[in-house]
Amino acid sequence: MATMLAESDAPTAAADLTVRRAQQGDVAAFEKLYRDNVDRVFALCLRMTGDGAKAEELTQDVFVRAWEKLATFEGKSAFSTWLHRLAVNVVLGGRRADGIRIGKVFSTDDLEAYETPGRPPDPGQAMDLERAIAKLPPGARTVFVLHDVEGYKHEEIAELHGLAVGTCKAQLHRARRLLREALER
Amino acid sequence: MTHEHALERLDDFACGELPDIERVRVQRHVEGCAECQAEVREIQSLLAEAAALPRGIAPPRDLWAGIAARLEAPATPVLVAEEPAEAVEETKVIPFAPVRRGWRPPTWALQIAAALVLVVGSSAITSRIVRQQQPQPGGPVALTPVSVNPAAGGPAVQGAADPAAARPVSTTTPAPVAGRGGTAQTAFAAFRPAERSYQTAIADLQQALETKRGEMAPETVETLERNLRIIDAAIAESRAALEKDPNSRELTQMLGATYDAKVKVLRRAVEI
Repeated sequence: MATMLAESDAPTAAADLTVRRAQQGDVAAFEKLYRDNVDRVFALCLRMTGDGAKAEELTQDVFVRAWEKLATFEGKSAFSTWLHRLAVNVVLGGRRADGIRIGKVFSTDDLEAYETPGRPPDPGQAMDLERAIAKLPPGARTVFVLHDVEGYKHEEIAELHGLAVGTCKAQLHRARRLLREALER
Repeated sequence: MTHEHALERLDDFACGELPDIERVRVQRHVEGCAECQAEVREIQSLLAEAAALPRGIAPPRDLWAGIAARLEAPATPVLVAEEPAEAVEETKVIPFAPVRRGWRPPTWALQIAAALVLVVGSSAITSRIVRQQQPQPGGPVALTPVSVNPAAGGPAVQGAADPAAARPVSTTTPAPVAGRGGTAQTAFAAFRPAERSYQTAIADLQQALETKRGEMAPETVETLERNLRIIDAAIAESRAALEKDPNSRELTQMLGATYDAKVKVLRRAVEI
C-alpha cells in the first residue's frame, strides 16, 4: 500500500479492540468504526464517481461489505487501510456492474456534496480542484484520484483496474492536462 | 534527449517516478528548456493542490441508519427488486401521469415509480411472510432460513469458509440480535435507533418539501401525496407484522427498505 496511506494509519489498541468487538458481532462497535471512517470513505466514493447520490449509496455498500467481510480482516494492516482498499474495490466493482453511470454528466446539484461541514474554512482553490476533478472523464478521474490524491502507485492502480501500467499513466497524463486546463484562471 | 521525449516523461519526472538514469537525462533537458520548466512547475503545483485536499468529506446526511438496517438482515444484499413483477399484480400502483404519445416521464418520476414498485413488492412479500408465519395445522412452519446470526458467531460473511458459521433460524426458536453493549434484543428492537434516524430524516425532508409546495404543480403534489400514502401504508403494515413477530429479520429488512424508499422519494421531490 502506498506510503501516504500508511502514515496516519498506525493501529491503536483501542481501535484494535473496537475491531475485535465488531468481529464478534457487536453492532455498536461497528457503528464506532463507521463514525471513525465514514468521512474518508465518502470522500473517496465522491471523488471517484463525481456523483453525490451515488457516493452515498456506495458508502453504504462499502460498510455493509465491510461487515460481511470483517472476519477476513486479520489485523496485518490498519483497519482504515483495509477499509480503504475495500472501498476502492466496491467503487470499481460498482462501476463495472453499472456501466451506464460511467458516462453520467456531473450536475451542479452534486457539487453541494462537497460543501459540507468539515471542509476547510477557506476552500477556494480546493473547491475549484474538486469541481474540476468531478468533471473529468471517469477513467481519468479514477486514476487521478487514486494516484495523486490517495497515493496509490501505478502498479497498484493497474492491478485494481486490470489495465496495463502504460494505460494508467496515459490516463493520469490526460487527467492532469484536463485539470490544468480547467483550473486556468 | 529531444524536447518531445522529455515532454512525454515530465509527468513521471515531476513526481519523482523516473529511474535514475532517465531522470538525469530529463533533468538536463529541463534545465535548458523554459517550456519544460513551466510545464514541470504547473504539474508540481497541481500535485501540491491534490495532496492538500482534505482526506475526509462528511456525507450530507447520516448514512448509518441505512447501513444498520442491512446489517441485521440475512447475508443477501438489500431488499431484492426481483420480486415486484409478481407483487405488482397483487397491489395497484398509482401512475404519476397519463402517458402521452411522445411524452417521457421526468427522471425523478421514474425514480419514485421505481421506489414504489420496491415498496409495493415489499408489502406483498410482507403479507406472504405473515401468511407463512400463521400457525398451520400439523405443526409450526419455519421461516426462510437466515444464513448467519451475527450475535451467535460473528458478522455475516458471504462465502465464509466455515459453513458451520451459518445456521438456520426458525420462528419457533427466535434468535436474539446483538444490540448495543452486546445485550440480546429482538431484531425489531435493534432496528429502533435506525428507525428513529429515518423518522428524523423524513421529518426534515417533509419540512423542506413544505417550502417548495407552492412551486409544484397541483397534480404533482396530489400524486406525490397519494404515493407517499402507499409507502406509509407499507410501513404501517411492516410495523404491525413486526409487532407480532419482532425477531423476523426479513420483516425488519423490509421495513428498513421501505423507510429508505420514502427518504429517496422525498429527496427527489425536494430536488425537483
